[in-house]
Amino acid sequence: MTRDANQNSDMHRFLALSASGVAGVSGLFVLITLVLTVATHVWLQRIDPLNNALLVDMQARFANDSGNEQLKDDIRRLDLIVRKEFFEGQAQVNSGGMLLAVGVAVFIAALGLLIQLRRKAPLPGPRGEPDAVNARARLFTMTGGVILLLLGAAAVFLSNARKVRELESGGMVVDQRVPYELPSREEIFRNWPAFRGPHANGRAADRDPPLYWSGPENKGILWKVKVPRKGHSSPVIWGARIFLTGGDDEMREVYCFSAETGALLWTVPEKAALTALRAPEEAGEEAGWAAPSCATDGNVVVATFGTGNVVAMSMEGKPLWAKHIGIPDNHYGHSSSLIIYDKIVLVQFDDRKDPRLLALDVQTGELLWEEVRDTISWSSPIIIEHEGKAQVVLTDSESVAAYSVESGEELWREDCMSGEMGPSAAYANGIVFACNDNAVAVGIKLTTGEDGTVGAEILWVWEEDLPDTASPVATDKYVYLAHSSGYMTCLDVKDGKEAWIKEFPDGFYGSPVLVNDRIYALDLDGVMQIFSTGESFKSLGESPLGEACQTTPAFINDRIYIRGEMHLYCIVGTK
Amino acid sequence: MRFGKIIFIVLLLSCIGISVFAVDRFPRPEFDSGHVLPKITTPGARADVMGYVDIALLIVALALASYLSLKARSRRGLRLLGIFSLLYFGFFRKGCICSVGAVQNIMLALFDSHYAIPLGGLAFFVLPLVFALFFGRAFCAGVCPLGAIQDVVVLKPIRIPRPLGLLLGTIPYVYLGVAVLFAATGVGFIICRFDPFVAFFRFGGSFAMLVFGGLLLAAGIFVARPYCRFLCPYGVLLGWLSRFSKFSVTTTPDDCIQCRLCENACPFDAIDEPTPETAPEPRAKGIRRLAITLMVMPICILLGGWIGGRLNLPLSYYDLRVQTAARIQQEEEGTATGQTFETEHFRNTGELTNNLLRESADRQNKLQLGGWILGGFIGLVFCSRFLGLSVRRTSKDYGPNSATCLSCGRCFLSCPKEHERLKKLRGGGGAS
Repeated sequence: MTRDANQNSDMHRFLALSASGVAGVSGLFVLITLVLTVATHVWLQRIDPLNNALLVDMQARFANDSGNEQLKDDIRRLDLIVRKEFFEGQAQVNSGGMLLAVGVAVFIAALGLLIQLRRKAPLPGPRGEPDAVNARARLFTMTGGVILLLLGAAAVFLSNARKVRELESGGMVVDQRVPYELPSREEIFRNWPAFRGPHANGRAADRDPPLYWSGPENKGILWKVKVPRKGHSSPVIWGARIFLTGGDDEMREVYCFSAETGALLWTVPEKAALTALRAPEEAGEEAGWAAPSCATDGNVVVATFGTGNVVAMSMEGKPLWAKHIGIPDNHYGHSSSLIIYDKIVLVQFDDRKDPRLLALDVQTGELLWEEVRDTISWSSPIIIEHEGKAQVVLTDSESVAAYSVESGEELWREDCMSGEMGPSAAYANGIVFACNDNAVAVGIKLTTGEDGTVGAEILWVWEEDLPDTASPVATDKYVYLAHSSGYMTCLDVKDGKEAWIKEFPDGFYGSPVLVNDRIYALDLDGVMQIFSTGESFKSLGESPLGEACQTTPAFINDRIYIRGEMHLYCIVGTK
Repeated sequence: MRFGKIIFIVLLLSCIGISVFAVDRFPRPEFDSGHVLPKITTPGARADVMGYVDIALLIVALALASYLSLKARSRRGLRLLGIFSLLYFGFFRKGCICSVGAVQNIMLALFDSHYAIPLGGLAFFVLPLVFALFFGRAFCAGVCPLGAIQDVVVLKPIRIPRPLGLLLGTIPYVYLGVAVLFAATGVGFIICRFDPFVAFFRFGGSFAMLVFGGLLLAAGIFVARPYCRFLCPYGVLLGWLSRFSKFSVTTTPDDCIQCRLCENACPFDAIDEPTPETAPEPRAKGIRRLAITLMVMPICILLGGWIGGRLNLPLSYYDLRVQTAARIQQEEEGTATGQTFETEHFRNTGELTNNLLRESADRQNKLQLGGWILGGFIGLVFCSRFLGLSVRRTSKDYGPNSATCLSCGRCFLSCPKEHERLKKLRGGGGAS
């Protein structure tokens, strides 16, 4: 019995000794591994193989000396070294983690065994004194509460967290307002305030533009200036100022040229009115950054870009306000132009994600109303005045629809369209015209119910040779459709019957414009086809610009302003 | 059993090492050589039926824990159940959904009509509370994976001073209040974000959370189940309900013989002592303290509310969207130059700036009201704790505190009466 007890005691001592030894060694191992692993982890957090200073320097040198094969090899070798260094460090951390886990497990196992071997029989301790314990607990609780209060108060007073509030006028930067005077109807129709002119309808009266000129021979050209950055936007004119936009990945800008001399009066970068708004990574290939044309009312110029930013400036180029309305989700790029009517800027933001029509206060950029729409389009809004009330008419890939300018209420809608809608609508004598390639051309007669309700009904449908980009233009008798393949179709507005079709050598992206009794249609090669309105085709002139052209010209008095691929032209013509 | 426990610890701790592998800091390179990178695949959605399996297993586990703690009085059974829960609800289900975090889903569902709480979330929140109301904290005994992982490493528990333990015991109330406030206002689910063990369950997580979890487990060797006692917000709710539980765990299966052997058996300091026979403090002194406490209580609540209401701005910054909104506002006003990664990303989304600002301002306003309630609640908690310590309760026997006892069953075998019961069960003779 005694021998058994001695043997047990020896075994107990041996186990205890072994366990304490293992616990000590494993504890030391854990400590060392922990320090090394954490140090490696911290080091890894601080290094950045992709931006190694030497590597970056060598890459910069290589950019200026791209034929240097030795430098290229050195860069590759160094790149491999720094990456290897990083990933080896990462592997060390991983191995360290594993070793740490094993070490900790051994340490805890040894410690557990040791504790078990040294465990003594439980004995009750001295009796507690609950009242004294409670008194201390009250003191602790009170102290803890006070500390918590002080911490809370310190957080309140020391925190630099700020109260968030809505920005005035929907996230814009407000500068001083400019003196504002509502333009008269005469002023609007005397100028060229938007894409396709007054009310964006492609009609101009009381002007006498030239019939003949020649860009290649520099005949009939008053001036020709280079536009700093590219764009498909068309010239917009008020008084003696011409407004254009241009842009590329680096910068988007609004330009003001002198209508008299072509001098660049001012340039306002998109960013000037914004605070570090960033553009999407790339514009749509077709439209580019600056396809939408500006709009003006003689007080303010408003422009928009493929970035989804709307910026406003005074006629002198002073930034007034800016607003980001969302990056257009649009596979060809954003191209819808702006229009201003009665102090309201109308923005047709028909993209795939969140199509909508927005009305902004021209002076402040404040969102006045917003109407959710259904589908994408590349067309622009036009204004029609029917029964004394203004309607904004939009076309899209499903329909032609009109909204109240005042409230955004949908007034009427005809679901007659399909395809990718580029052409905007046209209006004449109570009839709205719309068309799209692979869809139809329609004449939609506006109606007014007995209760004054505005409505519409489709008068006729025509299905051949339809434009995919250029918008139609209409007289009271005929509507003209310019096709991108070169066909010009004239239909009778009453029944949609074909009056004539003429095939031109080049197609049309720019929209035809009606000036008095003539149609001016600028083809893709920059040749202006001029013909008379009437039941049969009669050419009045054919004048080349000498530069490719996808925009719509502007007509003021006896001059035509055309934006070519690179230049802006002022045409006065030859006798 | 000790050996099994050690093996289990080895397996458990190896998770720390494995989880370190889940680090990927660089975008994948594009190779000019034509090397094609393997496609990134995502696992399919979990079958709906598994949600019902989870609920069924939760019910079974809760019932079993109640039976083992109240009827069978089996510490071994509870330990095995804990290991099962750790493996299933922890490692297999990756710690989600858990009852501890489900309180946030409930709050969000109550305050946000757009959020529909899943049946699993509701069941995981309600069932442990229902069981607590009838059978005490059976959930903590062997069903909660967070408790189970800590229970495994309790090797050398020490008793921390009771006043300190009571003070630390107020932290879960603060945590619960903040978590409820954040969930109700849509700021975020902080219980999930700061779950210290989920990184182990998922074999991956941030370095900081791995360290936090590792430290808690290391501390858990000496301070038993520190998360359960000093952090767990769900434990507050379980404690409230288990106070009223119809059936509670008892140390002795019979009458207490006042041997005091159970005193040191509980590593959670959840055994209440009988009231000593020494003379209490003068009655007038006690009444005066009570009266002062009751008078000060409304002031504490209002002061807490006042400070809480003003904490809305710093609290709102926990929400990244609010942080982004504040920065964007500064950029738009010109008081900050350049843009941060977050503001740049926001602008690239195309969302209207004022939508973000409006939403953030609304969140800050909600946090102001919620902050008042939270501050008042914390004031109430401290005053109630003070009040509880000022009231002398009389009890004759040693026994588990119904609110703080985790029903782990460690105290059973410390009681001589339990040994007697077991002997009888085995048919080993009469009473000593």
